[in-house]
Amino acid sequence: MDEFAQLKDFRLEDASPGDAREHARGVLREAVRKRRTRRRWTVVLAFAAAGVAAGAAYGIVRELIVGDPAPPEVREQPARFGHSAELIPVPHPDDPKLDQATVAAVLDSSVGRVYLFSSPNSRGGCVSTWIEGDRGYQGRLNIGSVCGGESGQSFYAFGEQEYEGKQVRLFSGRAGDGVARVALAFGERVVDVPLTGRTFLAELPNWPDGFISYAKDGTVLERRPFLRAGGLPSPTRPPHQVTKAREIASIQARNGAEGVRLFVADASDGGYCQIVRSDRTAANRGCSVPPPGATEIAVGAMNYGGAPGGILLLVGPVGSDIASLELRYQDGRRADVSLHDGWVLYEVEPRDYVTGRRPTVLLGRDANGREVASLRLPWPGPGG
Amino acid sequence: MDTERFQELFELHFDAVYGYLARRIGPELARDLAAETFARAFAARGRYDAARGDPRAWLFGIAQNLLRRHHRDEERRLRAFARLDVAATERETADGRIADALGALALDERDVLLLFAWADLSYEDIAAALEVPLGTVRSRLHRARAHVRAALEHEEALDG
Repeated sequence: MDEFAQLKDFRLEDASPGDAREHARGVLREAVRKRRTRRRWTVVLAFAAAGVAAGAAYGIVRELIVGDPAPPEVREQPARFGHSAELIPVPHPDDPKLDQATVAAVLDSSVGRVYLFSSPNSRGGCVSTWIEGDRGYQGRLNIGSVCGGESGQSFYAFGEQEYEGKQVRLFSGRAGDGVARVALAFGERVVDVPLTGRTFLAELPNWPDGFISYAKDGTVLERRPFLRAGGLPSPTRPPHQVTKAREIASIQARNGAEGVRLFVADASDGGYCQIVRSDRTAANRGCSVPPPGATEIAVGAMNYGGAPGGILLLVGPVGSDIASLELRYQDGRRADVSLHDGWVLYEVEPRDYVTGRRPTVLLGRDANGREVASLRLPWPGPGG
Repeated sequence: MDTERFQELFELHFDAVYGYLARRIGPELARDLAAETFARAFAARGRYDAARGDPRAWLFGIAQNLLRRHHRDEERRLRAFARLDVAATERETADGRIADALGALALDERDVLLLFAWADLSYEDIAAALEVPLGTVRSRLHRARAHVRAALEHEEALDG
């Protein structure tokens, strides 16, 4: 028997399609049912900015199918909307519940595909935009969200960001109750923004001067001018790395199972870029670390690798007058935190993530042992 | 393609798609992947062009894409089978050697070989399913067969 005949006969185990076939039928029935309730949208966006010659409209053509769950990597994002810092993510009722996000619209923009996700929260719901592949601080997906109130009014957000060396201006939101049509004003020109269900997502060539919504009979329901002449202010370009990174510290996290290293470089704004690396977790880099004052603790909490499986790290620089650092816990424990050339890389162990055991404050002392600085560690939501 | 035509396609080809997936990654995972294959096919049926040839190439192409996420599972399963085979029989059997050889193949070569041997796709359909040129299919298949043959012959020589 040749190798091919042997291969044809080879099987690891027997399998009958009986149950699988019924399972697939069920999945298909559900797909058919959903399909009937979905709408297929072919959207042509044509924005002609003020100052652009008539007829030279900016066009985007996309076919959108709404209603699919957001990709897992979006649904698994820890809620952090509105939090200035976090140790362990504790959802806030106003956060978008990204675990329940669904695709609301898709747009092929000048920088790539952009998704608009719709998700509930405790109030009027939220929409979130994400440029496919865009990751930001701590390696998380760079998702921008805006949420509505309980008034039933339209809500929206403008965002200008750089992605892979190009600037993109995005406008997204959700139409309010009774709104049949939304538009943007560019000077005296009013350009409709197509609705995908109740949501909208568009790339803009220029900043508009106002938002307008209409009822079905053409009555204007909302008219909100954008007060700055010429549109919204241009965003500040984020700082970037200008020197080669040098290794500052290393620790053995996860009970010695994962070596974590901290690298530091100078940033273009006079501050620092900090890069946390390990051989098991994607690097986390950020260049928004300001130089600390002489008696300042500029240490932040980082969920390295993301919740819930990440490593909780305290990372950052301290001022030049600080010679030693102490971490105090809710239950009264104290721990010395090593300084490495003025920087901290410290792991908070998982057993200390729970209320009653959490770290609460960092205390800095000078060379004479005098307490010269303190930093209360922020906890989102209850338990802090 | 309308829903009735798709239903026919399902009835005609489900067993083949499921059987292929089950041989590669086991019945449990195959159950889900086969269902997902047809769900995706249903969602994309508007883009299916019947003039492009055998619909099996289209269906197996979708199945292959889903399967690629699980190639490590497949390799682990093949290695485990080979180990289990030795443990169970206290010697290497032809099946154990095949499992070993398949597990050691490059994924692209394994895909071509198994679409040919287990899914009974023609060279042309494999090329369509994997979206690679016909010549690539031929060369991959040649390398894969040679690899499996060599593994079997080597072991037979050792067996004496």
